[in-house]
Amino acid sequence: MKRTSLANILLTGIVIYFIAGYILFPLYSVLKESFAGDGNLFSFAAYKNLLTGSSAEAVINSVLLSVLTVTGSGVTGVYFAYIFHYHKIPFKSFFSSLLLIPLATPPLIGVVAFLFLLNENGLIAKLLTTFFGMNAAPFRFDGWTAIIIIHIYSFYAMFYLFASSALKKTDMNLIDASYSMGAGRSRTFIKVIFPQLIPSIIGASLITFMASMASFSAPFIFGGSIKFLSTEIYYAKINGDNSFASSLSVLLTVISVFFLAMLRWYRSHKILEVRYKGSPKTISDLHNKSINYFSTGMIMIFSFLIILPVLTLLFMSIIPEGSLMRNFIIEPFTIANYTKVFSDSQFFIPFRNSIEMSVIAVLITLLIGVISSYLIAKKKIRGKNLLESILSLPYGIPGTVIALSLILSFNTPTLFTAFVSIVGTFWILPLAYAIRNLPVLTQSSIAGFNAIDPSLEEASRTLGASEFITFRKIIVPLIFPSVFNGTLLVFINSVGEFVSTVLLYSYSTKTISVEIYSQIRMYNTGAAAAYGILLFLMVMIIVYLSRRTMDKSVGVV
Amino acid sequence: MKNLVLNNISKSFGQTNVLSDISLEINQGEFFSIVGPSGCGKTTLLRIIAGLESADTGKIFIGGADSTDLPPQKRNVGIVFQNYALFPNMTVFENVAYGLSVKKTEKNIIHKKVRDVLEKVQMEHKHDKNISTLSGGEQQRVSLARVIVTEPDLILFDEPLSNLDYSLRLETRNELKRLQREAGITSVYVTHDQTEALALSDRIAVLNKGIIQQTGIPDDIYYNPENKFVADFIGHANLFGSQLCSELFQIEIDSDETLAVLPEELIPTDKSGNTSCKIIDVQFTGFSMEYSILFKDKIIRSLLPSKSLNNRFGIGEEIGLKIVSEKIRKVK
Repeated sequence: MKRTSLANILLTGIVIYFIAGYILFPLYSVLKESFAGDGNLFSFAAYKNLLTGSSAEAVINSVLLSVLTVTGSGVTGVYFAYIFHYHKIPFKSFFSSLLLIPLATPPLIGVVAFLFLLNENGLIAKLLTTFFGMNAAPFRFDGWTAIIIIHIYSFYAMFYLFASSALKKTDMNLIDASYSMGAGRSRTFIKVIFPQLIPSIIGASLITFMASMASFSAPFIFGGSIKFLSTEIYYAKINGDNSFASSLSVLLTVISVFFLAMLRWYRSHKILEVRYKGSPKTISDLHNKSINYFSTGMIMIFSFLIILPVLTLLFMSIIPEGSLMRNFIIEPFTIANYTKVFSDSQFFIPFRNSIEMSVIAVLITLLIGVISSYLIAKKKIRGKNLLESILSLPYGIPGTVIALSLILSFNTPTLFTAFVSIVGTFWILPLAYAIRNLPVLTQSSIAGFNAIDPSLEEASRTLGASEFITFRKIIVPLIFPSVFNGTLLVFINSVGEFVSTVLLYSYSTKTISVEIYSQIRMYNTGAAAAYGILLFLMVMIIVYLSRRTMDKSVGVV
Repeated sequence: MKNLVLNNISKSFGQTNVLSDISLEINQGEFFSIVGPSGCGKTTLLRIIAGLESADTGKIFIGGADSTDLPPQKRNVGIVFQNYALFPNMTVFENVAYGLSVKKTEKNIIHKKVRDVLEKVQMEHKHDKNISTLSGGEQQRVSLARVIVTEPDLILFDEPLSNLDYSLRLETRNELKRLQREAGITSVYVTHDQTEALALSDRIAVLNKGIIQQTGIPDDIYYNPENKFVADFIGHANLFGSQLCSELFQIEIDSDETLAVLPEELIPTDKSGNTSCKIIDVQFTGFSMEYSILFKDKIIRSLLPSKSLNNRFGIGEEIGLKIVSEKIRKVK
């Protein structure tokens, strides 16, 4: 008894050390910096600046963008979830995996792919000018339209997933009852199905709103002169105005954390769905053929739109560099871009950096995430709600702000960085990734721990196993799938990370995402596309692996 | 020989007393049931015996040794859980072998013992199956095998049949009794189903609100309840206060006493005298006929073998009542 409590104290100590040093202290640094005036005096100058300057515009733009993103993604995601569930669609699982591609695609890859597809020298523009003899593309793809389209592309899958799982839980007898009482299809949807989706739609909306407020890559590349909070922070930091960047960060963080708090509150108060015994899970296919054909058509078009950016990226990576400027139809495909990328002695550096940093981030999140979820879910330590809230905090903090907070707190030697300054070094990057992804791993392993029936442990104990043996033989095998999946997710998020990387990297520590970005800046579209495709493949392989482990781990109750 | 002795066990969660001063002595090889309504503390008591919960006061002796402060893995007590609690990451064989393998038993001995016990519960053909592929009844048998194979001093059953449907429950109940008798292991069985307890047990303790109401053999508990709770919970007896007694049956009892009449000891007769009882419901279940009878505002139950009934009554008929019992059963 004594020994276990000692171990708990040690584990709690490790978690508190990490939280204090790498989450709370950096946030405090940002807050402090935002009040810094000339000569380290306390000052509201940055906030006055914020009210009077163009920042108000940035706030309005960011909020507006988020509202539009939530609306667009919501309609798209719920629509496809609905027809997927109720209509007869051929090749369901194939289309279903296609629709989820944006969820795993690193944001920068999506942005770059859209750039190649739709900008004024992009693929579509070239097709139009080549085949229809136009002088220039009849559209401009930038600004609001571009950002919103990319956002919907990136975020609709959240609604699709949430709505799908809610639809799977809806009671089909309710729908049959509605039809039998004479309600039509649309009335049934509005009065019976939609109300059951509301909880999941609200959940997805809050998440998407936060993600959209924090989104950096799309506004950064397509924003032009439009001001958004996330990009304004970046520019303020690049211009050396730390204090102003900090005040903007505080503002953005407060908004995001408010939404995070709402999300957490909402989840803990969610109304439980009612399921009656013996209700069928799936509806018989609709007999109305024309509706099924229409839905199938919509899904095919949409799936094509979903993979089009990826196909564009692939296409760009196998045509000769700059051939799009001339006439790409005549020139044969080539692997020149890949050989160039591979033969470059510098090539492996971004790859090695990204992979190494991601592995380190995974190890850190694994250590802190598993320990803290163990303490929260199994040991029920005092203050576990507070601990859980703080651990989920980074989920609500935009990547730009996390980067800024690390710069401000670790540009001088501290206790938490072995008394050296880590700004500009290799180590600050994996640290940023670990902090950003800590909630991912913590949540998935808390879910893993909670899914274990407590009587399994009790059974093991009464069969003669000690607490330690029980942990090793029963708990570890049972949480492994969810922890492993969380780990892969952390790796995927880290390996293509751009938002905080762009503020933290130096020449020797550049990552794949930074390399893609700088190749584009140098108009090396072929090389950028090749890097993009390699990154995309890496991520997809990992997603495939994680699906395989999930499928294999049967019987976890 | 006493296998399990509980001395003055008490337990409270916060302000609520879950168990008050529980003392029990259970003999070697005995099948002992603890029966009571949900929330009466029976599961807590079971968990305290297993060491999964600690008692606030009192002592526990298992096989003569003071086990009060022993951790669960040192008590040699097996539990059969309500939800079976089979390890989903292991096969049937691995589940049953678990208890032996954590005790570092030799491989070939484990193999032989597990085979034997799986044969006993008729699960040997599924030894390599995954738990999720088994039915509820099969899971229950594996869970029993997993406990029996470790040869515990005591098996605790926590409502093991409540997740099974009716016919399977009867079948499993018989098999459980057979296995327990064969293995000769002392068993403590917790249930809220008094029929189950009566059918299975050598002795029964009736528990309510954390207090033992009565302990005895099934026959005794059923026919000689010591208080109103036991009479009602075990026999669904009709309880009559002194006023009702004299009005209905012309029996005089003290005002603090209650007459307990089992439903099968009460026969509806043709209306006689001026007491008016009225039939408000009749349920025919094949073997038996159950009348619900209203007298003033009291509902009285009468349960009779349908074959033995000479004249049957319908809903709304006015009747008289007669007690057919060798003794007048008075309870406090």
